[in-house]
Amino acid sequence: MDESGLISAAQQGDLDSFNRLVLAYQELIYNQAYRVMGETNAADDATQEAFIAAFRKLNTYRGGSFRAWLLRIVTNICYDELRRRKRHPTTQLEPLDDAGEEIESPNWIADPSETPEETAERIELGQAIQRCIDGLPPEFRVVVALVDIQGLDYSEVSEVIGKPLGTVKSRLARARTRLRRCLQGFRELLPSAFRLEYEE
Amino acid sequence: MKNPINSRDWEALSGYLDGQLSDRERTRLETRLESDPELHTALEELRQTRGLLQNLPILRPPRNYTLTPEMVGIKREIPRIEPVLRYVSILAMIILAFVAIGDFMTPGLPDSAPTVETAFDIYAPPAEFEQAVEIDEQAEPYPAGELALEAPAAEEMIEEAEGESRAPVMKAQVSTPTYSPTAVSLMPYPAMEEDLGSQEPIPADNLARESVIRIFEISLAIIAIGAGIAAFILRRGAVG
Repeated sequence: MDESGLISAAQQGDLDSFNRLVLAYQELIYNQAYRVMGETNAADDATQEAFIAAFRKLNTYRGGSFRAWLLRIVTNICYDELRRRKRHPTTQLEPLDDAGEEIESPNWIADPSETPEETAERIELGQAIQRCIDGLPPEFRVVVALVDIQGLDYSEVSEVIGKPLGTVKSRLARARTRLRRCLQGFRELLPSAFRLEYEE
Repeated sequence: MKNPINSRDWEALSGYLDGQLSDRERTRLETRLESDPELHTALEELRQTRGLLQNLPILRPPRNYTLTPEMVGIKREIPRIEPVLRYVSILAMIILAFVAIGDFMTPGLPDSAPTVETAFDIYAPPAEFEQAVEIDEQAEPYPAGELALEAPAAEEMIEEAEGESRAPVMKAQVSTPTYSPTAVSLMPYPAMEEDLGSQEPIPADNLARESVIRIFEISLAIIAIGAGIAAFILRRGAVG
């Protein structure tokens, strides 16, 4: 069954069809939630909440990009959670293990083909970039994650955030400019990464 | 003196990287880039930043996010046949109870067939046979010479006595004691008929009626249990 067929079946209450959509989109939604929230536990919660909300609101889906519709839901959930945290601030920079200790090198980003040095370097660079993203206002985080990490085009991003194309361009440019400045603070990590970039 | 890079320039550079500028905007920017190394450096830095973001690894979700009916508050509908099965089960139990009580309280049918002991009593050898055996045992052996003369008479006596008693003995051995009253009533031996003379023969109608009642009771029990189990499974499946 194709995507529209699964959506139609899910709109009739077929949970199995919806779960097939969940499996198809969970990576996208989880990654978007992680880039906006900046931590795995929050991303995990937001992703689950997004799919529950999506199933309940499925009758409000009126066609168009289902991906954009799902991303809009998870984005709004992230906004709500960030607003809640602003009212009740907590500090958590690293993901926590079962004992509540910070995980510096979470195994979900380990790549067995890399040497330990390469892994450490990549993780450090990845963490540096994520810290810079975390420093952006949520509206900028959402747009830069959608365009540069998820690979959506401007019009689809416009659909996700419910703003005109001009707003997308403006937020993206400002996000990239701030990230450029932030990443200069991690200059010692950048050369090898940029070298790899140019070699490609 | 060249103007410093402002937010509008950054937006143009960002759009230029993504191919989002119109032809006119792109031409104007490219002209400026040729003559403005600072703007060119800004473009390269922006390109590198974008490259870093694009090369970020895609994270694998820690688990699947498939939903369960409980998560979304779905209660599976109980099949319509479930209450029907429940009532059928209860009804069958009630009818079964009435039939069983009625069956127990209704007189007319014998409670049980003759017991094994009774049957053997019936087939006990008659008094003549006992007497013949006693005679046989009491008979002293004859001397060899006398035997030829007197033996035929003695043999005749024994055979006569045995002749009368053998038949019932054989019948008692051959005919296996049975619980069926029918089998008892069919026995031809006169003495037995005499013994059973006090019991009335059971009509075939009664036997048929009893068989029908048993079958009916078993059927009701099967319906009651089967329908009850089916209703339970359906309800459990709907809740689960």
